[in-house]
Amino acid sequence: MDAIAPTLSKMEILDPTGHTEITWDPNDEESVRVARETFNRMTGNGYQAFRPGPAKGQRGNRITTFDPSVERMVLFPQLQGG
Amino acid sequence: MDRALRMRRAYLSRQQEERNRMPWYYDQTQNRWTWADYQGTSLVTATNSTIYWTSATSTAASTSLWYPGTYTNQTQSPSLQQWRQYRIDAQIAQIRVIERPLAAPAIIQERNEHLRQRLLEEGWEEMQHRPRRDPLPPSQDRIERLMKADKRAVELLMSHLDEQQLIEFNEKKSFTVEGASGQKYRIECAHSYSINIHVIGKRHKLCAHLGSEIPSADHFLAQKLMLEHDESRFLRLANRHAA
Repeated sequence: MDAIAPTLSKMEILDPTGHTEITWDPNDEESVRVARETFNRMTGNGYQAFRPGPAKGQRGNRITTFDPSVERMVLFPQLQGG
Repeated sequence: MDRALRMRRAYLSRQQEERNRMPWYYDQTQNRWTWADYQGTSLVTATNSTIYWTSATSTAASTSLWYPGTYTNQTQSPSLQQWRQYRIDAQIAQIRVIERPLAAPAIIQERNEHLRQRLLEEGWEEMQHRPRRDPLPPSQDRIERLMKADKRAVELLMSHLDEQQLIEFNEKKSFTVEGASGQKYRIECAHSYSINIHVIGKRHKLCAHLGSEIPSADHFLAQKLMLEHDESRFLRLANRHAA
């Protein structure tokens, strides 16, 4: 029987390199810890986090605290009016 | 008019306004800078390193303010920075600062002329004509890094677009998003990330973006996410421009 590959969640941080991706397995405490620390550090530096809608027609939302069960999130700095 | 130029002019105008409120004038007969108090109750004397402010209506030492200046030439007007510091010191010492003295236009003209001379001496004209950007072209390594970043950003943006948005993006280099209010917006991706959001059915565009070091496609993604999931905040941040 084939082993089921774990579903990895990912955090995409927009930056000058295009983006930096951080992945974690919700069942792996170590990877969750690293992702949580990164999330807290980035939001502490003024970044905002969004969870995109899981499917077309479904709305996502802004995230203020790290939730390891979220499959995909995008972090970026504050927008500024131009 | 260019927005940066407008902001620069507004900034200079505010500075000039603040300078005009500086209640100092050069007393030629006494050969010193003097406090232009319309009640005639205050006097400022300047030495080589300090400015001493005395209120003529009070004999208590506590109401006098010893103000350490940084200029060493009596014939030089106090700078804007010194004036700002003076106001802070005066506030701490609970001394009333007159913001708008009855300064005759001639005094202001003289002061402005003096400031102009100072700017000329300090190379203001040279500063204006100094090239602001490095004239050397970017290195090949840097160009490759930028191109790679652009490519990754575009791939990420496309991975966040739904089918309809993807078709639109491929055909027109733009895509439509819908806010929680039901208002639709078209994000233009063909050129700049600045003033690129059309409010559909309205006569204005919106502009809000990330820092300039981030690839353009990332700006479009951030705009999309905020409009779709935090529209009210985006509208508070964005500036409006006539379409």
